[in-house]
Amino acid sequence: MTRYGMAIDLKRCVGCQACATACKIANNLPKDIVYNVVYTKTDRDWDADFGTAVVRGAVANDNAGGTFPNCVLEFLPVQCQHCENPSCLRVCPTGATQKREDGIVWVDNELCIGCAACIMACPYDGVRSMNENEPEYYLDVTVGEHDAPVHEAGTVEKCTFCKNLVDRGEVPACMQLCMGRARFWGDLDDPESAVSKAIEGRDYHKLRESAGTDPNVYYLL
Amino acid sequence: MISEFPLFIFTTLGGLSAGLVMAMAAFPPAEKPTRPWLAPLTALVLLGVGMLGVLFHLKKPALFLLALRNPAAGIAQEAYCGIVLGVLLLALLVMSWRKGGAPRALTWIAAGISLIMAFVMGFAYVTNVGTAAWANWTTVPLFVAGDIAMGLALWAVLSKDALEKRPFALTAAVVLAVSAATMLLTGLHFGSVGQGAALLYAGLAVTLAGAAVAVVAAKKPAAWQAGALIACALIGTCLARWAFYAASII
Amino acid sequence: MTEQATPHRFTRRSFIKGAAALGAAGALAGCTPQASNLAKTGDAAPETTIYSGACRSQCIQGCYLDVHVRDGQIVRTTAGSIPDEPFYEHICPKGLSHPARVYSSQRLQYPMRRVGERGEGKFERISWDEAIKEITDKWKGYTEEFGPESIAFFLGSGNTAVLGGGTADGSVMQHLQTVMGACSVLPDRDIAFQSAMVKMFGPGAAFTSPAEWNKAKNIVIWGCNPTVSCKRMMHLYLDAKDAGAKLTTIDIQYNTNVAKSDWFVPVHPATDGALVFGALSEILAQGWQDTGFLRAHTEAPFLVKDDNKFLRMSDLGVAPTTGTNAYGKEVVIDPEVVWDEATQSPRSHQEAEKPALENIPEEIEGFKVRPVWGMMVEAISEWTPERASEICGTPVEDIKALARLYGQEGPVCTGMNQGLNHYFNAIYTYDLIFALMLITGNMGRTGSGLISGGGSFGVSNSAGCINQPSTKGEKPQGPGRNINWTALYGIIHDQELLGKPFPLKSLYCSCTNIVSNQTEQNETIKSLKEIEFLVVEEMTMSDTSLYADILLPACHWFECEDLRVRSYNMPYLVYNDKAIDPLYESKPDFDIYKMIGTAMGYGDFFDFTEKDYLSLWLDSPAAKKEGVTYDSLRETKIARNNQLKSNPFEGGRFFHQSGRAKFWTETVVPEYNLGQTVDESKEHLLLYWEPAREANLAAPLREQYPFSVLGEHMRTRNHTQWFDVDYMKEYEKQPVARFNPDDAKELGIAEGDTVRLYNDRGSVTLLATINAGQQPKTINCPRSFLTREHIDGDFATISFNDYNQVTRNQCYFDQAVAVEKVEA
Repeated sequence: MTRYGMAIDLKRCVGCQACATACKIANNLPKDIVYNVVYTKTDRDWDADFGTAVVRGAVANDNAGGTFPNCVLEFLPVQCQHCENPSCLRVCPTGATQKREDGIVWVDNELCIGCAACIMACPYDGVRSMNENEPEYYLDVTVGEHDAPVHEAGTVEKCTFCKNLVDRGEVPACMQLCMGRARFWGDLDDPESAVSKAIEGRDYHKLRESAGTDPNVYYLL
Repeated sequence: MISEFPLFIFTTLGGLSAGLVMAMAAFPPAEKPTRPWLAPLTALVLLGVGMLGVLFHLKKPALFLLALRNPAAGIAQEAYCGIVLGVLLLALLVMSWRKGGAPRALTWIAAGISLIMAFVMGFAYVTNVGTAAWANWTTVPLFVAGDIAMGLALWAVLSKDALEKRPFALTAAVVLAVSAATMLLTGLHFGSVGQGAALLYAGLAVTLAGAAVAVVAAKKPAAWQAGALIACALIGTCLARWAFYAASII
Repeated sequence: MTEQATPHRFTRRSFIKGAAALGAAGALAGCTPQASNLAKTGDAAPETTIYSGACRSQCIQGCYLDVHVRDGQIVRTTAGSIPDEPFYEHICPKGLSHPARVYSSQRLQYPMRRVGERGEGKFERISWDEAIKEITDKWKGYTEEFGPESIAFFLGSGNTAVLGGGTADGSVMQHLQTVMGACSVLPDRDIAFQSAMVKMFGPGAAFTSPAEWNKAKNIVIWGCNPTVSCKRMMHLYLDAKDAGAKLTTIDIQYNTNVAKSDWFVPVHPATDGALVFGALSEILAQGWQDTGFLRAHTEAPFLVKDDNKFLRMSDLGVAPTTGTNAYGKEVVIDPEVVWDEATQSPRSHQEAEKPALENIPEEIEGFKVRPVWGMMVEAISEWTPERASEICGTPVEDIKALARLYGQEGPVCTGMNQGLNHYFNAIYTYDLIFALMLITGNMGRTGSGLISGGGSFGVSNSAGCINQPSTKGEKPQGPGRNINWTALYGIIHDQELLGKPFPLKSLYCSCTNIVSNQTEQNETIKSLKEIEFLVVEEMTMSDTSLYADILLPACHWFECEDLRVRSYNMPYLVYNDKAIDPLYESKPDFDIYKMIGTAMGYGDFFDFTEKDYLSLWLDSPAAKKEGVTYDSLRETKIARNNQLKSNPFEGGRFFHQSGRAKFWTETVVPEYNLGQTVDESKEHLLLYWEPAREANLAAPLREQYPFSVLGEHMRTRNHTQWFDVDYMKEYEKQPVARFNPDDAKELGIAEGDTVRLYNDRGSVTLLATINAGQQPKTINCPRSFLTREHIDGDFATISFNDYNQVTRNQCYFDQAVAVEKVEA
């Protein structure tokens, strides 16, 4: 059974924001909607808080912590974890949040009534965004894929694992193309897949496991 | 102003309604009341206004019927309970008005649905694992005890004489004390996850004051006690709920 | 509130209709929300065509992109596929956001004529015919009255292509300049790195290709942050690390590159040369120098006479001969002499069995000689690790460990780019680091060398393109003189240079934002205000555009075909398809240069098509050997040069005629002549150090201006390009100054406070941000914001515009400022 997941090698992520940009454009995201945030972190407690990001209100990215010259500077890309046991799935009253057989968790905007239960239920703060008002865009033209997600006022959105691309045999936007070669995706149940091979033999961390959601994103350490 | 004000309205008014129905069932009036329809009407109005609060919480309220699609979701369960309870209250209201009273069984069924609804309102927040302050077992008793406490207090006012009966007064005292205890436990949990708990403790104090009023009423009933009881129960629960919703991550 | 999404096809036609309705202000007003988006599920998928794109703003990466076009609109870009060498595939946030550049509200839509003051940005719309006529009438007038050198071109690097853009790599703009006889204003930046390489290694591509990095035992990245400024290399560094190389970064701050390194060696700004001296002192003390390499592959054994020239065989009575060098040029062959230890006699370095480094007679056949190696040892003997540590701030044990790394733990690859360039003492810094590499034999052998970007495509027929004759067989008159950037204002203001008349009347800038990107902005602005006639050709309303008398709208790169020239990290040429038609009335630079050339009366010199010009550019031995033609490139989009050596100095052979690396310059030739005095004693032996001017902690002016400022590159811009892409502001939103936490505390500054940095040249007001990675007394500011994006002032005002005595190089980091908090 296909079980899509991702691996992100934190030893190789250099916070370049290519994956964030790729996602933003391929999905034609409105100004206020971000699926994938690359945080700057000044410690290695990945669960405590994800770090800071300009897109989440910080003055600047890329500031180190510690005391010169003994500093810490890490980057943590966080998007929907497409959990095995999604807490968002259970709390969605309309069934808008769904999990496909191949593991991808997605939101049907036609069923979403904007109750925000999923946002409150998700332990990965920030991965879900509410379209508070009519979406506004940076450009007058539509960009990205022709079948990018619909952006509708009063609905919640998040990373779709680019299921529109994946279903056509293409790669998720954030995977094309990580500068550090730090991102991997594919079928976690296939030992020969790129993501399985990336994880093999590596120490890894899964975010906030105590929440019980069993995320499918592996952070390689 | 807290971001989740509509939800605060929903669970406070809806919970008050549920509590009132449970109080009505457990402590029926000794004599026939002059206005038997008043309590069911009050409960129905409270429930209705509360559910309006939910509508204000939704970004696409016109599609609220979709919220019934997923039975596992807390919101859906609240909606089921609310709708069923509303129908039952409507029946109670009509019968009370037309016939001066309703079958006891109907009131008990409504009370049962109310208890389920109170439970479900609390449990809906426990499933929000993304909100550490809420996703704890203490949330359920906080809501259930608070709802029953408020309901008993309101029944004391509407029934005019319920507080004169010792069993009722003692029950109210115990429930208010339990409600205060749930606020303490919730406050401790909030503290452990770095969430401010000042208002919870304020609510605890006021609720305990209400328990004290009920104890006095058990010994020596007086006219002022019903008013004092509803004030303490309502204010105490609202303070605690306000603190609860202030912990929202949105 | 609950509107359903309806499909809306946003065609270019409807966009232009809307655009034409705008007033004479020129630029589009702000964004209006998209009407809606996207096909309903169930609609047939519209066709997407993929075109090849060459991203080419001179971030020195030059990526090959797939440009996705749907319904005649560019909708997305992705990294192009290079199946044989996928490690060269790359795209970054800039490359990914090209659609936002194409459809930017800051695009220039039509030619304009200035109606306000220079710099005000007030323009009126004119036609192309009017624009070209006005430009060429003026230029023909100047040429007639003052000669062709009354006009100067600024050949910047904002678009590193052949047909468009203004690079000095055989571009059509350069041909225009050559035909017109116009002068060239030199950017004069990033020079010292190049100069040092040429001086010590000889002229040629000096970089070890990424194919060898995995063979290094140690990689030292010196004064460079490839995670931001050499992005495509970063995963290659990490691959080498995975293959077992230890990654060391020597830098003034703890930045992203340091975070990925195994060892961080902190150093005070511009004191890397002192650090090298400290390491060399330890290396000699321990006997870690690579004597064999020095003897066989460097000019260390050479002998210097009293006149500073090498002792040669002709001095010993052997007549010189002639021959041809590697470039086919005829040269005189008069080999330098060394003392052969084997024969105890002076011999040609080519024949000596064991060239001596020590115990050499002081006089040989009547000539007093000083061995180069002896002078090197003497220079190094004035240093100890302790003395070096006092100056550079690096702990003594780290200096010794660095010495051991180079001396005993090779092969070492040394990576750097332009960071060290931006100080007044840059040339000495690079000389010293190269000397360290040579003295320890970390060049020429496998897994060692200089890494910055490997392999450009190789020699093209740029000279043939620039100098191509007219269809009548006439030769171009040849370019006018080069004007150094530091001399520009003086020439404009005084109309003379070094006491002789220089009637410079007009400046032509194509795809270059000199107001933002040169030093000492206030002087640049004076130049642009005082020049009689200024023509600017640009894609957007940049800070330089604001000063134009005539402003010409150039189209976006993907709106015309071209060939990407410069790439420092990819041994591939990239052909850029025309993906869509130019928007509005914008035109390809190629068309504009031809229009100007023709209107100047030189039509016969511009009677070629894009194919003609590119085919001529490809008429080179390298391209021929690879079988690359215009037609083949249109097929394959990319073409590799397989003839580049992965290690250019394999076997220890360097590009100088001697075949050896140099430590001594016989004749000091300054790169520019502005009447400066040259103290040659600093320039002969390539082992000399002096501190920077203002970044020097001990400089007296530091009392008044305690902080040095480094203008860091941005992840989301290349210089000021991409300023108009609002997507990028999600990552780098506004000008900031990064402060060390202790410095901030002392200054009473908290995160997000408004602060002013100032010195006696200029001032900039921006937001403070706290960064523990800042070395105390240093500030970092991203250096690519336009004036209008600053709260007040501009970052580019605080730097000075002056050159080292021999190197024509602007110093972007060599500035000191004071800081004051600005109350809200």
